[in-house]
Amino acid sequence: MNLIGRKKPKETAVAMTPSTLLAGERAHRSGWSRGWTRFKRYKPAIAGLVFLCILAVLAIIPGVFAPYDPTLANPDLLGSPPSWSHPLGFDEIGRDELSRIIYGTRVALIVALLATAMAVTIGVLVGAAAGYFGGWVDSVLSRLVDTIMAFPTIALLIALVAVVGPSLKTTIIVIGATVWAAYARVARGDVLSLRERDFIVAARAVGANHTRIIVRHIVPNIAGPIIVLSTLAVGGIIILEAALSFLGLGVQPPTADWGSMLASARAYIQTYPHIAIAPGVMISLTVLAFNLIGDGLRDALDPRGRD
Amino acid sequence: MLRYVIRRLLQGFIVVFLISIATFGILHLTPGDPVLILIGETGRTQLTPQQIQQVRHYWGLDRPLYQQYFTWLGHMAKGDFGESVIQVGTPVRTIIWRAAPVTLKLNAMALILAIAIAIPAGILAGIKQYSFFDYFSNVGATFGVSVPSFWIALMAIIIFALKLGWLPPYGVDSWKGYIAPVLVLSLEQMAIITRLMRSTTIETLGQDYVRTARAKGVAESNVLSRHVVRNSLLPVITVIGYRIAFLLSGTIIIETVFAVPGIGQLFVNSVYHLDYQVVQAVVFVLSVLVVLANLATDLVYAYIDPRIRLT
Repeated sequence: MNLIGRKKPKETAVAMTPSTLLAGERAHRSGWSRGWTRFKRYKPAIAGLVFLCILAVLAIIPGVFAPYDPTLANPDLLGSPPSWSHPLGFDEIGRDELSRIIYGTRVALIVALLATAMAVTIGVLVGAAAGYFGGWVDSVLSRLVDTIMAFPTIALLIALVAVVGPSLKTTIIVIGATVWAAYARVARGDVLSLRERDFIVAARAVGANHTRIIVRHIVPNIAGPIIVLSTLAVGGIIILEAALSFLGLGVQPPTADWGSMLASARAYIQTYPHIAIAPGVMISLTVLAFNLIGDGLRDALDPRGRD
Repeated sequence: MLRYVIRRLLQGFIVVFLISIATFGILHLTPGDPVLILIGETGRTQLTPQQIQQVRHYWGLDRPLYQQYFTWLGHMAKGDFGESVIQVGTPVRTIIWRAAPVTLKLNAMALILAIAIAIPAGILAGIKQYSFFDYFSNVGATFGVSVPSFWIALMAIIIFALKLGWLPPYGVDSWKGYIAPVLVLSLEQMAIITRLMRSTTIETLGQDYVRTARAKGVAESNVLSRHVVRNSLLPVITVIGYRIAFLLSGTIIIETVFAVPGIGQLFVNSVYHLDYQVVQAVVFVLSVLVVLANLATDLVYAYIDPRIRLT
């Protein structure tokens, strides 16, 4: 999927002709600037980035863009279909659907970013420790990861929320504490293959200690894959949050949230089907944006990729 | 091979043991008195302290935690999952057995459908890289992993049940009721398997043995069927085995949306009614199923591919 919208690379012919100027120019460009040049070439990722910037603005200052109060109910107009003054119509208790969509951006991004940060941090620490130290540390941590991976994610999330009680905070913590295992597996694999590479062996041979090897050699080399992994993780986490709220076990009313908006849409699907459309479109577009950016980053940060 | 099987079985056993601790812990190690969680809001207001004490004794909650755990584990191992708190007197095992066939049917059909479409689609996309079909299936797969399944389910109900009237909006009383849940459940798996099949096909096409086969004059159709497809299928089969956990995750939500009376709906309803005995049992059974499926996948894979069991 990382090749969507990309034509067969035509620049290979140009790049293969000997050009001292080009080669000299490339030598002193940093990895990041090369990455950015490659990232820019993948148009869908740029589209995703633009969409994400719009969402970020909506999430930070929703009041400026929302035409109405997202919690103000107008009982006379409940369930009214879209009109010029209310482009997305009213929900089942007469609140403006568009304003709720705009305010819902906030919850989606907060949960997505915090839960991802939590999951990736735990995952990378556990995975890197398992991969780097090996032996019994690896065995213990790997069985722990296997155990968490054996639970169907949604089942574990629901069971935890049921006991702790649903709220925004619970949603973030429960998701973060559940999905890290998958990232630990990836990080472990990366570190494991890195550990046997010549430059690490050389560093160990000249007497570098664990801290120095980890900070100077391991971390910079897994930073790229971890960034890609985190970006691709966000999409799945947004869907998990929406799913929990959809089942009434995530963010609680009256907070505007896309997942809970779909929950009420399901309850009133026979009478007001129009409220089911917008929240789903927003969730899909947001997840798509993160996935496209992730694909772009993966191509851009792959050291084996060509310029 | 025997050493690999023993090692893998041992690992699986350890994981099942850890799962049992985690499942037990979910109800018992959380803040708050498990008895109060068990009897719920109404029980707290209506029962006398003496009656609460009786409930505590009935469920064995007045004994030390490790004793409770081993008693529970012993019961679980014998297939005795306790009694439902809501459907009083009904063994949890009976409730689960009643719901299991529907879930099994639903997931088996979804997985078969996903494989039947994704494998040929992925191979074709990989062979004809950059073609219109490749582009089309790429876009489809990208949307397939980005759009939440429960929203597709809602849209399917609105379009096919409410507007067109072709399918029932919920329930599986007739075979028509299965169409929408099976389709929705298979979409995400289809997207993931297609992408994987495409990338492994492309990788295999670049292998030396494929070039050798072509160089010695093997017909292209034979190169593809004998060398490319057979070698690219292997890693995909493993991943399909590992997808079981995700499939079961999806079934919980999809069954709830379409009101399919399976394990998924049972689970969500038990959570709503705070029927923790059922919640605990379902989580335990599902995750043990996942461990068994993964174990079976690994063993089959090691049997087919000697490189795995030798490392």
